[in-house]
Amino acid sequence: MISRLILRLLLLFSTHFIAVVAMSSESKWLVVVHHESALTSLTHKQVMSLFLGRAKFLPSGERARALDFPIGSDVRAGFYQSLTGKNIADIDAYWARLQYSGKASPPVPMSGSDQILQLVGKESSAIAYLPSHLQSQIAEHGLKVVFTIDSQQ
Amino acid sequence: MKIRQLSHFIFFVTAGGALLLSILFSIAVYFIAQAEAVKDSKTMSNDLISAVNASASAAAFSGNDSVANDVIDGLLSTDLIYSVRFFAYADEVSDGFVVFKETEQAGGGLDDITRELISPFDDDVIGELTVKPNRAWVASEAADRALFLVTMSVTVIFGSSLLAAQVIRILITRPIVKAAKQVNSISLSDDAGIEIPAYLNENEIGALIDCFNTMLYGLHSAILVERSLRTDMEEVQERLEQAKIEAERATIAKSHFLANMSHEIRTPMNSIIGFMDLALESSKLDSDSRQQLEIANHSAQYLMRLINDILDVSKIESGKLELDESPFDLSELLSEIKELMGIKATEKRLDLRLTMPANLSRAYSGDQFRLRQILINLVGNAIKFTQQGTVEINVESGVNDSFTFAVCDTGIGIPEDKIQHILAPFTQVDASITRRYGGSGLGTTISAELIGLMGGELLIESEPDVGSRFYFTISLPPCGTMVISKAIDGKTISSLNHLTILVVDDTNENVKLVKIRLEKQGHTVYQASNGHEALELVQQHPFDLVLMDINMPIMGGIEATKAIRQLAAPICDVPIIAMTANALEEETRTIIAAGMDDVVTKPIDFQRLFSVITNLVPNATLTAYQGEKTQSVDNTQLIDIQFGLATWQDEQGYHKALFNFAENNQSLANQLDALASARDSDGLLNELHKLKGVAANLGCQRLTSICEIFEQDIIESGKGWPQSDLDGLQTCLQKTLDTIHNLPVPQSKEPSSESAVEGSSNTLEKLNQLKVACEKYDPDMAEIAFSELSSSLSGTELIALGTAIKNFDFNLAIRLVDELKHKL
Repeated sequence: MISRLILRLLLLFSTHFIAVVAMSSESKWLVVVHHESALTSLTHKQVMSLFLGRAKFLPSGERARALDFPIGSDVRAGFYQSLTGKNIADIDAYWARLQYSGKASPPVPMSGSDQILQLVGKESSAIAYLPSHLQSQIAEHGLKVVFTIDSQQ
Repeated sequence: MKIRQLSHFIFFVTAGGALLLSILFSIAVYFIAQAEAVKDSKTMSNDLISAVNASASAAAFSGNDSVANDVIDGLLSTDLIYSVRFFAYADEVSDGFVVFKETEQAGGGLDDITRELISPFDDDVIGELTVKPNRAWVASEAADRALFLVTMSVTVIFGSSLLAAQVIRILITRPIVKAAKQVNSISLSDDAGIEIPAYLNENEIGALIDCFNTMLYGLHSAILVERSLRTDMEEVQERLEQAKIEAERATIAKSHFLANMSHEIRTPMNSIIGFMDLALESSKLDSDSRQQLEIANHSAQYLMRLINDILDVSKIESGKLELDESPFDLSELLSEIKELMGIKATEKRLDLRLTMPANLSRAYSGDQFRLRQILINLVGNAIKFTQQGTVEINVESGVNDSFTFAVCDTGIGIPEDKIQHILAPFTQVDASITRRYGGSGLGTTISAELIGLMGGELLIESEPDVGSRFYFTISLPPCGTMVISKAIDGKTISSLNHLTILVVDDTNENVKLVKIRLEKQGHTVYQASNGHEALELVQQHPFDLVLMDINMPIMGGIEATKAIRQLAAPICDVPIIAMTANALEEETRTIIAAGMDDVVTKPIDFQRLFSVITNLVPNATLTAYQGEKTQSVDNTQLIDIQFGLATWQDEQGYHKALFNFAENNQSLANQLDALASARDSDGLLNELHKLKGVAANLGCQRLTSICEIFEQDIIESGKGWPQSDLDGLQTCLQKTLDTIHNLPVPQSKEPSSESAVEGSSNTLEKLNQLKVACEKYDPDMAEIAFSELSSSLSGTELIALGTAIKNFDFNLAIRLVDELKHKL
């Protein structure tokens, strides 16, 4: 009986460990803008303000146009987790409150990383985030990294 | 203060106090509730802020003022919040904003409650939210709470009061009311007490009822005591009542006793005085005897006056004395008094003077005897208490027929402080006076009372050792032509015709005295010792006058008079004069009502008796012989003494013959009976003839007639004579014999020897009877035997014998009887 309980506990721990390992594989994020943008780098606060609707303008003075991964995607959840340390449900609740008044302007969801890469390459006011494993494609699409999130840091 | 006022007072004080307290309480409650409400408003405001915190943070973070407005509107939509200020800070990425809103309601806000707004994503403070709780809410909340509290308190207090009242009612009031009912219905006659529920025993009500029961027990005991006391009281009262009745009875008995005693005393006094008068009239007395007799007579008369005085006092005290008003001659009365009292005055060498008005009328109306009594009393006293000088009777006429009579003396006088004293009965000035002067002390009292009855007042002026003046004023109206009943003296009487008079009295001495006095006047006197005998005698013999005693054995005077008045014509008209010692007005009325013509009081005043006789029998001679003219058998006299005397011409001899006849024929009735039953007509005829002859000779007229009729019947019818003849003869014979026994023994010069001779055998027999009675100490029998004896015996021995018997001295009586027998 006791052995079985211990086995179960071991099983629980092992699953948790596996999940952490999986997430940690996505814990490096790159915030990117058009390569011709005046922006060179952003602070963590600035990134948070831009993606959560506090800052309406880029530091360069242009009206900021934040892009998002599709609602419900793991990428999106992972990013906001890494950015705010909060659950994606909290983030969604936040936006829901603001949207209730009708004046909120959350980041525009894209179909996937390809669309984000193309749109940011074309529009100078756009700003988006990418998982670190797509770093190799940044340059080829004319993008530049202005902030990197390394949650393991 | 009364309980009602007290309850009002308590009510107002309590109600006022309660009102004040509840107002204070309500105010306190309100403030407490308000403080609570303020606290609550803060808590609730914080809670509200917390509730909107997430939205507010989001709005502040995103700089979204419309969400902020939503938040503010949400907060203000409650009554709790008065105003909200939303402040989002500005920084390098956001411009920030401020929104302020307040409710349109009046009342204002309380102190600010401020909450910092934290960024939803990190710990930065990005703004603040300030709210003011609504004062109006706090007020209404406080009011609501206070109202609720007060309502609740009132309800609880009211409910618990009701509960308490109910409990008090059930546990206290109800038992008290029940006890009160028991008290109400409790009867003091038993000692039941009040029962109370057991749970009350321990408390104050129980103690109260215990006290009440104790009191009840005390009351019950008190009632028992009172009841027994009342019973005792009733007993005492009953005894008192009884004693009162007995006392009243004793008083009545005393009155009777007094009346009887006065009679009893007057009767012997009457005879004493009478016989002494008689003795003094005799010329045979030597001077010593005369003097002694005079002293005795004087004393007897003094005693008589004393008795009369005492009787007068008792009559005055019982209000029975009445005045007898008749016309009289005042000047003659005064002269008489002067003459009468002059003798006494002369004895004491005093000068008795009389002054009176010269123009006195002949007649005045008044009670002359009482006036005389008063004046004699006063003059007597004046003489008695005066040693030298004068006594003056002064009469003055005043207005309205009034006369003032004054008796003045130069005597010892009366001290001023004793004047009123002497009018009280049995009182003289002081005891030493009684010793020095003697006297009953009644005279002045009686005089004063009599003067009072006459409408005057006895007044006294006196100075010790100088003299006294007793005077009074009474009214004496003159009466013009009325005849004055004057006392007629013996000389006038003696000129009257000789009368046949029957004296009826049970006391032998009285009869003898009257008889002697009347016979001295030349009248013929018969005697009877009771009413029954008198009734018989008046039918046998015509009398001109009957003198009748009232109190007699067998038949009294009243009864006898009534019976006589019922008889046939000539007899019933005989004048009857009552002789009585009870000279009370009431008795006089009874006597007159019985049919008597006049009253003479004992002791008999012969002057008055003679005058009464003269008034009543003016033509005595004519009446005396009228009865003899109409004779029949029934109406014939039993014994015609006149006839007998006329025949015999010798009283002694006639009486002797009568007594002999009676003695010899004692057994005749039996002889006749024997002959009649044997139908011996010849024997009867023989006896009847003999009887007729003797009876005719002796004047036994009825017996003679009956014998004659009987003889005739026998001759005519032989043995068939009617029985009624024999019966009639027997009755008549017995009556005749009885009458002879009752006839008065004629006076003789040697009474004892004479009377001793006549009928000696019969007398001897009676003497023996008397002796037997005396030996038996039987006063009644002795009295009867003596009265029988007294008809056939007389003399001093008899009087002595009578006295002995009356004194119950039977040994002396026996000795006297033996002496009498020896003489026989």
